[in-house]
Amino acid sequence: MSRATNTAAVHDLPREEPLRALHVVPRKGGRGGPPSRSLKVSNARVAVAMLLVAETMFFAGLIGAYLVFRVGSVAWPPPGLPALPLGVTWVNTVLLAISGVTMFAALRGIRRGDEAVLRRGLLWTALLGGVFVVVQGSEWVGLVRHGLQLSSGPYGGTFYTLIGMHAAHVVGAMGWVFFVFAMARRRAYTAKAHDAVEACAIYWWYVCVLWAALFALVYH
Amino acid sequence: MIAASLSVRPRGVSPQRATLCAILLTVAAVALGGDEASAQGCAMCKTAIGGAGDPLARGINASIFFMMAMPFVLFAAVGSWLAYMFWSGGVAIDDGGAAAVESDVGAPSIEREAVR
Repeated sequence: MSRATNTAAVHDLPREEPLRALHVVPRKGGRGGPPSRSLKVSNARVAVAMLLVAETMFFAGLIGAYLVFRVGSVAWPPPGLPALPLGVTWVNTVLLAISGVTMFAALRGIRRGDEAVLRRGLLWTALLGGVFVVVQGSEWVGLVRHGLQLSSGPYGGTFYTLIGMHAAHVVGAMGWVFFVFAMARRRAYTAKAHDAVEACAIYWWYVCVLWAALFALVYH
Repeated sequence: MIAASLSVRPRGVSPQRATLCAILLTVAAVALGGDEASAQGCAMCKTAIGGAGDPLARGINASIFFMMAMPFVLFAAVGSWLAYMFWSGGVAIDDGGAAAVESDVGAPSIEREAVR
Protein backbone atom coordinates (compact mmCIF):
# COMPACT_ATOMS: atom_id res chain seq x y z
CA MET A 1 0.00 0.00 0.00
CA SER A 2 1.43 3.37 -0.92
CA ARG A 3 2.15 5.98 1.70
CA ALA A 4 -0.40 8.39 0.24
CA THR A 5 -3.17 5.79 0.37
CA ASN A 6 -2.16 4.87 3.90
CA THR A 7 -2.33 8.46 5.07
CA ALA A 8 -5.70 8.95 3.47
CA ALA A 9 -7.02 5.81 5.16
CA VAL A 10 -5.84 7.04 8.53
CA HIS A 11 -7.48 10.42 8.01
CA ASP A 12 -10.81 8.65 7.51
CA LEU A 13 -10.65 7.32 11.04
CA PRO A 14 -11.91 9.22 14.07
CA ARG A 15 -9.22 11.13 15.96
CA GLU A 16 -7.42 9.00 18.51
CA GLU A 17 -4.99 9.78 21.27
CA PRO A 18 -1.30 9.59 20.36
CA LEU A 19 0.51 6.28 20.52
CA ARG A 20 1.09 5.29 24.13
CA ALA A 21 0.60 1.55 24.21
CA LEU A 22 2.96 -1.34 23.76
CA HIS A 23 1.90 -4.34 21.73
CA VAL A 24 3.67 -7.24 23.36
CA VAL A 25 2.18 -10.04 21.27
CA PRO A 26 2.62 -9.62 17.52
CA ARG A 27 -0.57 -9.62 15.53
CA LYS A 28 -1.39 -11.90 12.65
CA GLY A 29 -4.04 -11.74 10.04
CA GLY A 30 -5.53 -8.49 8.84
CA ARG A 31 -8.56 -7.88 6.70
CA GLY A 32 -10.19 -11.19 5.97
CA GLY A 33 -7.84 -13.14 8.25
CA PRO A 34 -8.76 -14.81 11.52
CA PRO A 35 -9.11 -12.47 14.52
CA SER A 36 -6.00 -12.22 16.64
CA ARG A 37 -5.44 -10.71 20.10
CA SER A 38 -2.62 -8.40 21.05
CA LEU A 39 -1.79 -7.42 24.62
CA LYS A 40 -1.98 -3.71 25.30
CA VAL A 41 -0.13 -2.23 28.24
CA SER A 42 0.49 1.49 28.60
CA ASN A 43 4.09 2.60 28.25
CA ALA A 44 3.97 4.17 31.72
CA ARG A 45 3.11 0.84 33.29
CA VAL A 46 5.84 -0.96 31.38
CA ALA A 47 8.36 1.69 32.47
CA VAL A 48 7.33 1.39 36.11
CA ALA A 49 7.46 -2.41 35.90
CA MET A 50 11.03 -2.22 34.58
CA LEU A 51 11.96 0.24 37.32
CA LEU A 52 10.48 -2.02 39.99
CA VAL A 53 12.28 -5.08 38.65
CA ALA A 54 15.57 -3.17 38.85
CA GLU A 55 14.74 -1.90 42.35
CA THR A 56 13.84 -5.39 43.48
CA MET A 57 17.16 -6.77 42.34
CA PHE A 58 18.95 -3.89 44.04
CA PHE A 59 17.26 -4.60 47.36
CA ALA A 60 17.70 -8.34 46.82
CA GLY A 61 21.45 -7.72 46.76
CA LEU A 62 21.29 -5.76 50.01
CA ILE A 63 19.07 -8.39 51.65
CA GLY A 64 21.42 -11.10 50.43
CA ALA A 65 24.31 -9.37 52.20
CA TYR A 66 22.15 -8.98 55.31
CA LEU A 67 21.28 -12.68 55.28
CA VAL A 68 24.95 -13.66 55.15
CA PHE A 69 25.59 -11.82 58.41
CA ARG A 70 22.31 -12.50 60.16
CA VAL A 71 22.04 -16.23 59.45
CA GLY A 72 25.79 -16.62 59.76
CA SER A 73 26.09 -15.05 63.20
CA VAL A 74 25.68 -16.89 66.50
CA ALA A 75 24.00 -13.99 68.34
CA TRP A 76 21.83 -11.32 66.68
CA PRO A 77 21.97 -8.55 67.76
CA PRO A 78 25.58 -9.02 68.82
CA PRO A 79 26.30 -8.58 72.55
CA GLY A 80 26.67 -4.96 73.62
CA LEU A 81 24.55 -3.52 70.82
CA PRO A 82 20.95 -2.34 71.31
CA ALA A 83 17.94 -4.21 69.98
CA LEU A 84 15.85 -2.39 67.41
CA PRO A 85 12.77 -0.54 68.73
CA LEU A 86 9.75 -2.60 67.75
CA GLY A 87 6.82 -0.60 69.14
CA VAL A 88 7.43 2.72 67.43
CA THR A 89 8.31 0.93 64.21
CA TRP A 90 4.98 -0.90 64.30
CA VAL A 91 3.24 2.47 64.51
CA ASN A 92 5.38 3.73 61.65
CA THR A 93 4.46 0.67 59.59
CA VAL A 94 0.77 1.33 60.15
CA LEU A 95 1.27 4.94 59.04
CA LEU A 96 2.91 3.81 55.82
CA ALA A 97 0.11 1.30 55.23
CA ILE A 98 -2.45 4.10 55.66
CA SER A 99 -0.52 6.17 53.14
CA GLY A 100 -1.01 3.31 50.67
CA VAL A 101 -4.75 3.57 51.28
CA THR A 102 -4.76 7.34 50.76
CA MET A 103 -2.86 6.84 47.51
CA PHE A 104 -5.50 4.35 46.45
CA ALA A 105 -8.20 6.90 47.29
CA ALA A 106 -6.38 9.50 45.17
CA LEU A 107 -6.18 7.13 42.21
CA ARG A 108 -9.81 6.14 42.55
CA GLY A 109 -10.72 9.82 42.68
CA ILE A 110 -9.07 10.67 39.37
CA ARG A 111 -10.51 7.52 37.80
CA ARG A 112 -13.91 9.02 38.59
CA GLY A 113 -12.72 12.41 37.35
CA ASP A 114 -12.69 13.97 40.82
CA GLU A 115 -9.57 16.13 40.89
CA ALA A 116 -10.18 17.42 44.41
CA VAL A 117 -10.08 13.87 45.79
CA LEU A 118 -6.90 13.26 43.80
CA ARG A 119 -5.15 16.31 45.25
CA ARG A 120 -6.34 15.58 48.77
CA GLY A 121 -5.23 11.95 48.54
CA LEU A 122 -1.81 12.92 47.20
CA LEU A 123 -1.30 15.45 49.98
CA TRP A 124 -2.22 12.95 52.68
CA THR A 125 0.07 10.37 51.11
CA ALA A 126 3.02 12.74 51.05
CA LEU A 127 2.25 13.89 54.60
CA LEU A 128 2.16 10.33 55.96
CA GLY A 129 5.34 9.50 54.06
CA GLY A 130 6.99 12.55 55.64
CA VAL A 131 5.89 11.47 59.11
CA PHE A 132 7.29 8.01 58.41
CA VAL A 133 10.68 9.44 57.47
CA VAL A 134 10.76 11.79 60.47
CA VAL A 135 9.89 9.00 62.92
CA GLN A 136 12.52 6.83 61.25
CA GLY A 137 15.06 9.61 61.70
CA SER A 138 14.24 10.06 65.37
CA GLU A 139 14.57 6.31 65.82
CA TRP A 140 18.02 6.45 64.25
CA VAL A 141 19.07 9.27 66.56
CA GLY A 142 18.10 7.11 69.55
CA LEU A 143 19.99 4.12 68.17
CA VAL A 144 23.12 6.18 67.56
CA ARG A 145 22.92 7.46 71.15
CA HIS A 146 22.74 3.87 72.33
CA GLY A 147 25.90 3.03 70.44
CA LEU A 148 24.60 1.53 67.20
CA GLN A 149 26.52 3.19 64.40
CA LEU A 150 27.37 2.47 60.81
CA SER A 151 30.76 1.28 61.97
CA SER A 152 29.33 -1.07 64.62
CA GLY A 153 30.14 -4.16 62.63
CA PRO A 154 27.78 -6.01 60.27
CA TYR A 155 24.79 -5.40 62.57
CA GLY A 156 24.95 -1.61 62.31
CA GLY A 157 26.27 -1.58 58.76
CA THR A 158 23.55 -3.75 57.26
CA PHE A 159 20.80 -2.09 59.31
CA TYR A 160 21.65 1.47 58.29
CA THR A 161 22.30 0.49 54.68
CA LEU A 162 19.07 -1.44 54.20
CA ILE A 163 16.74 0.82 56.14
CA GLY A 164 18.53 3.94 54.94
CA MET A 165 18.13 2.95 51.30
CA HIS A 166 14.45 2.35 51.89
CA ALA A 167 14.11 5.74 53.57
CA ALA A 168 15.84 7.32 50.56
CA HIS A 169 13.30 5.62 48.32
CA VAL A 170 10.45 6.96 50.43
CA VAL A 171 11.89 10.47 50.09
CA GLY A 172 12.21 9.96 46.32
CA ALA A 173 8.65 8.68 46.13
CA MET A 174 7.49 11.73 48.10
CA GLY A 175 9.16 13.93 45.51
CA TRP A 176 7.29 12.06 42.80
CA VAL A 177 4.01 12.49 44.68
CA PHE A 178 4.64 16.23 45.02
CA PHE A 179 5.37 16.46 41.30
CA VAL A 180 2.12 14.68 40.48
CA PHE A 181 0.35 16.96 42.95
CA ALA A 182 1.77 20.03 41.22
CA MET A 183 0.64 18.68 37.85
CA ALA A 184 -2.78 17.89 39.31
CA ARG A 185 -3.11 21.51 40.42
CA ARG A 186 -2.57 22.48 36.79
CA ARG A 187 -5.41 20.13 35.88
CA ALA A 188 -3.11 17.86 33.90
CA TYR A 189 -5.06 14.67 34.60
CA THR A 190 -8.49 13.53 33.59
CA ALA A 191 -10.55 10.44 34.23
CA LYS A 192 -9.27 8.94 30.96
CA ALA A 193 -5.69 10.24 30.93
CA HIS A 194 -3.89 9.75 34.24
CA ASP A 195 -1.04 7.36 33.48
CA ALA A 196 1.38 9.46 35.53
CA VAL A 197 -0.83 9.12 38.62
CA GLU A 198 -1.01 5.36 38.12
CA ALA A 199 2.75 5.11 37.75
CA CYS A 200 3.29 7.14 40.90
CA ALA A 201 0.74 5.06 42.82
CA ILE A 202 2.35 1.78 41.76
CA TYR A 203 5.74 3.03 42.92
CA TRP A 204 4.33 4.22 46.23
CA TRP A 205 2.67 0.85 46.87
CA TYR A 206 5.92 -0.85 46.00
CA VAL A 207 7.73 1.21 48.64
CA CYS A 208 5.03 0.25 51.18
CA VAL A 209 5.22 -3.46 50.39
CA LEU A 210 9.00 -3.32 50.43
CA TRP A 211 8.88 -1.79 53.90
CA ALA A 212 6.64 -4.60 55.13
CA ALA A 213 9.20 -7.13 53.89
CA LEU A 214 12.13 -5.22 55.43
CA PHE A 215 10.30 -4.74 58.71
CA ALA A 216 9.57 -8.45 58.98
CA LEU A 217 13.14 -9.33 58.08
CA VAL A 218 15.21 -6.77 59.95
CA TYR A 219 13.18 -5.96 63.04
CA HIS A 220 12.18 -9.49 64.05
CA MET B 1 28.57 -10.44 14.88
CA ILE B 2 24.82 -10.32 14.34
CA ALA B 3 25.08 -7.03 12.50
CA ALA B 4 27.87 -8.41 10.34
CA SER B 5 25.83 -11.51 9.50
CA LEU B 6 22.82 -9.43 8.60
CA SER B 7 24.83 -7.13 6.38
CA VAL B 8 26.25 -10.00 4.32
CA ARG B 9 23.17 -12.24 4.16
CA PRO B 10 22.67 -13.85 0.78
CA ARG B 11 19.76 -12.99 -1.41
CA GLY B 12 16.53 -14.77 -0.60
CA VAL B 13 17.29 -15.18 3.10
CA SER B 14 14.83 -13.27 5.25
CA PRO B 15 16.18 -10.93 7.96
CA GLN B 16 14.46 -13.02 10.64
CA ARG B 17 16.17 -16.20 9.50
CA ALA B 18 19.50 -14.41 9.20
CA THR B 19 19.11 -13.06 12.75
CA LEU B 20 18.25 -16.52 14.07
CA CYS B 21 21.26 -18.07 12.36
CA ALA B 22 23.52 -15.32 13.69
CA ILE B 23 22.26 -15.87 17.25
CA LEU B 24 22.73 -19.63 16.99
CA LEU B 25 26.25 -19.17 15.61
CA THR B 26 27.11 -16.79 18.43
CA VAL B 27 25.78 -19.17 21.09
CA ALA B 28 27.67 -22.06 19.51
CA ALA B 29 30.89 -20.04 19.36
CA VAL B 30 30.59 -19.05 23.03
CA ALA B 31 29.65 -22.57 24.13
CA LEU B 32 32.32 -24.42 22.21
CA GLY B 33 35.13 -21.91 22.04
CA GLY B 34 35.57 -21.08 25.73
CA ASP B 35 38.32 -22.34 27.98
CA GLU B 36 37.72 -25.10 30.46
CA ALA B 37 35.88 -23.86 33.56
CA SER B 38 36.04 -25.72 36.83
CA ALA B 39 32.85 -26.03 38.87
CA GLN B 40 34.22 -25.00 42.24
CA GLY B 41 33.50 -22.25 44.68
CA CYS B 42 35.68 -19.20 44.54
CA ALA B 43 38.93 -19.37 46.45
CA MET B 44 37.97 -16.63 48.90
CA CYS B 45 34.72 -18.33 49.94
CA LYS B 46 36.46 -21.67 50.27
CA THR B 47 39.11 -20.17 52.52
CA ALA B 48 36.70 -18.17 54.65
CA ILE B 49 34.21 -20.95 55.34
CA GLY B 50 35.34 -23.53 57.84
CA GLY B 51 33.04 -26.34 56.77
CA ALA B 52 29.44 -27.47 56.57
CA GLY B 53 28.79 -26.68 60.26
CA ASP B 54 30.18 -23.18 60.06
CA PRO B 55 27.47 -20.54 60.73
CA LEU B 56 28.96 -18.39 58.00
CA ALA B 57 28.40 -21.24 55.54
CA ARG B 58 24.72 -21.31 56.53
CA GLY B 59 24.51 -17.57 56.01
CA ILE B 60 26.16 -17.68 52.62
CA ASN B 61 23.95 -20.58 51.55
CA ALA B 62 20.80 -18.72 52.63
CA SER B 63 21.96 -15.66 50.74
CA ILE B 64 22.77 -17.67 47.62
CA PHE B 65 19.35 -19.33 47.61
CA PHE B 66 17.62 -16.02 48.13
CA MET B 67 19.54 -14.28 45.38
CA MET B 68 19.07 -17.24 43.06
CA ALA B 69 15.31 -17.24 43.60
CA MET B 70 14.77 -13.54 42.95
CA PRO B 71 15.02 -13.56 39.12
CA PHE B 72 12.56 -16.45 39.00
CA VAL B 73 10.19 -14.63 41.34
CA LEU B 74 10.41 -11.50 39.23
CA PHE B 75 9.95 -13.41 36.00
CA ALA B 76 6.89 -15.15 37.44
CA ALA B 77 5.48 -11.88 38.78
CA VAL B 78 5.87 -9.97 35.51
CA GLY B 79 4.64 -12.97 33.52
CA SER B 80 1.59 -13.32 35.75
CA TRP B 81 0.86 -9.64 35.41
CA LEU B 82 1.05 -9.80 31.61
CA ALA B 83 -1.12 -12.93 31.61
CA TYR B 84 -3.63 -11.21 33.86
CA MET B 85 -3.69 -8.19 31.57
CA PHE B 86 -4.15 -10.44 28.55
CA TRP B 87 -6.98 -12.51 29.98
CA SER B 88 -8.75 -9.71 31.85
CA GLY B 89 -9.51 -7.67 28.75
CA GLY B 90 -6.51 -5.41 28.20
CA VAL B 91 -6.25 -6.60 24.61
CA ALA B 92 -6.96 -5.37 21.15
CA ILE B 93 -8.85 -7.62 18.77
CA ASP B 94 -7.60 -7.47 15.21
CA ASP B 95 -10.32 -8.73 12.92
CA GLY B 96 -9.26 -6.74 9.92
CA GLY B 97 -10.79 -3.50 11.06
CA ALA B 98 -14.35 -4.71 11.63
CA ALA B 99 -14.26 -4.33 15.41
CA ALA B 100 -13.03 -1.43 17.49
CA VAL B 101 -10.14 -1.61 19.90
CA GLU B 102 -11.43 -2.89 23.21
CA SER B 103 -9.05 -1.47 25.75
CA ASP B 104 -9.34 1.92 27.42
CA VAL B 105 -5.63 2.54 27.04
CA GLY B 106 -6.21 4.42 23.81
CA ALA B 107 -6.11 2.99 20.32
CA PRO B 108 -2.82 3.83 18.69
CA SER B 109 -3.18 5.33 15.28
CA ILE B 110 -0.16 3.41 14.03
CA GLU B 111 -1.96 0.12 14.59
CA ARG B 112 -4.99 1.28 12.68
CA GLU B 113 -2.71 2.33 9.87
CA ALA B 114 -1.14 -1.11 9.85
CA VAL B 115 -4.49 -2.86 9.86
CA ARG B 116 -5.59 -1.15 6.67
